Amino acid sequence: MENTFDRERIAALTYKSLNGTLSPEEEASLEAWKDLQPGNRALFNELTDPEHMRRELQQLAAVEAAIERKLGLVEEGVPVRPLRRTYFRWGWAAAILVLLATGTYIWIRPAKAPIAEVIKPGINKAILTLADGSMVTLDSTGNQVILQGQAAVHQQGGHLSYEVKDPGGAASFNTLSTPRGGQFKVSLPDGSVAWLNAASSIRFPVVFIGKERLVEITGEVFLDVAKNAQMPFRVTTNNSTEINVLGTQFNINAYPEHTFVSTTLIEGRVSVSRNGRQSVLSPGEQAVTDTDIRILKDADINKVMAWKNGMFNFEDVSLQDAMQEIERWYDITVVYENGIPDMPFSGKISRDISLNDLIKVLSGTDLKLRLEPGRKLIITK
Amino acid sequence: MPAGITYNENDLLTQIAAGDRQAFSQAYKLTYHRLYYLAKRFVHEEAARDIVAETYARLLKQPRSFDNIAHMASYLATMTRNACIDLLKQDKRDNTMQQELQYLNGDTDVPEEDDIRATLYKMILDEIEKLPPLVRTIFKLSYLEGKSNAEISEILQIRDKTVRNKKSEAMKAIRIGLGRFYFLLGMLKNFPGF
Repeated sequence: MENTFDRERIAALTYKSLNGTLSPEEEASLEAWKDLQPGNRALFNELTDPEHMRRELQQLAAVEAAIERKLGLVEEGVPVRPLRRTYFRWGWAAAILVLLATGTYIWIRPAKAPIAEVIKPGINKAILTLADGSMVTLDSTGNQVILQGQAAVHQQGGHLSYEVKDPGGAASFNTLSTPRGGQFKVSLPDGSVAWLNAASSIRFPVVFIGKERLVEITGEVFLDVAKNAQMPFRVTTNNSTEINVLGTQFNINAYPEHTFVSTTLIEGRVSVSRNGRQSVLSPGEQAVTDTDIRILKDADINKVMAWKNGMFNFEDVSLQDAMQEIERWYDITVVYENGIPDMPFSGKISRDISLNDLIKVLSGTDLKLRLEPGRKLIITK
Repeated sequence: MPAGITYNENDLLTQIAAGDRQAFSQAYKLTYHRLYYLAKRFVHEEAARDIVAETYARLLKQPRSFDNIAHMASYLATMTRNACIDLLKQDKRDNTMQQELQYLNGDTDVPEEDDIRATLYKMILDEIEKLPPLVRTIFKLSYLEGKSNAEISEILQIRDKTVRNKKSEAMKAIRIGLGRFYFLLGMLKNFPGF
């Protein structure tokens, strides 16, 4: 087992080797260490590589500066000399010149270099999985017809519609799914229309046969169900919530990140059930199914429908929930650098803007947001 | 702030327990490089840097008394490691880090490789610190930050000629004080305007 003395000794020998001041005995010791394990020679080469060294030294110097700043050993933003405006030409507006206690100055870059990447908002994009398991990619430029057994599937841009050709026989199933950063609309074989938010899906038969119209959804879907008293419409979700419908408009929010499913009725009548419990909703009401079913009488319809209207509505929403929505729409990852801020969050804004612009709107005095490569949004209190 | 006070180990520990900033300014230099490479095992550069800085800040806010420097180093290492774990837990989606989580067995020993790395680079930085003030700053700006003479001239509001003179001084001081760091000189020569 190596002890600290050995490691310090190797570091000192390496230093001397760079310096050119190794004695013959020391040189021999160093060579012996390099031969001890294959990794050692590789480590030596890496450590003494000029570019690698420069980068590591730069990092360490930055750590020192960060510590000095944190310990209040520096006066920030006080340049030794006044800075001329032309200095912004090199884009160092984000960096600060720091006066160290010892009377020297050092340059600090508090954040990573600015990102050229623009994160665009979601678009019409989905994948249709056919009965035989094959997948068709759909986007706003598409324009095609796919034959699926008894139906012809028409695609026009962000809208898919099913035209029933032959209402006989057993039905096969299709699944329409949107990825993160996607949304899509589908007209089902009975004329009902489903709007899918990002990271959502709907599974349905290519033609509705039998006693009921049954579809399965995940994520967030808004449904406008065509009236058919002979064939009630039923929706199931991943947490076993079931919604029974008779000609109506409602929104279901069933993202796997939550343990609950939220069903909001706009028009018509639905009954929501789970695990033997059932509730009937009137327009404007919202049922939240978790371990039981709770009814909210005066749901904020605008808030529930915001996504379908191309908006973010963050009134009375926790930062975490708002960020999850943002993650799905922009297909990014949010990282909380020092804990999740316990901050009330509010506001409405179009969601058809780039994330870069959204960040500008959201950045406030208490909340710091920055983008990093790899589609990461870093939030600092 | 009085400059140039150097505490011996006992006084240093006493002053740290008292939350003396001057003592901290001396003490952090003994350990930060190891903490940084420890943190880098788990999180990326910027996060590692911020976690290390935060660790010292926390100790300053809630000073403790330590038996010796090694004791303090061990305590700081534990705090750093825990902060990294917290960050990783939040960043659930980062799959590569999940593998590193498996190695967190309360082991705050820096692997041999990182220890050598930290010690060596700290040694070099210490030598750089011995350069005279303006020379040191210009050297850091050009060598570490890769700034051109024109850029340095702009930042420090000094004439280009001064920048070049100070760089020559740096080269000379490096030759004398740092010894034949020819690799360093080699890098400097590659910088435009040197």
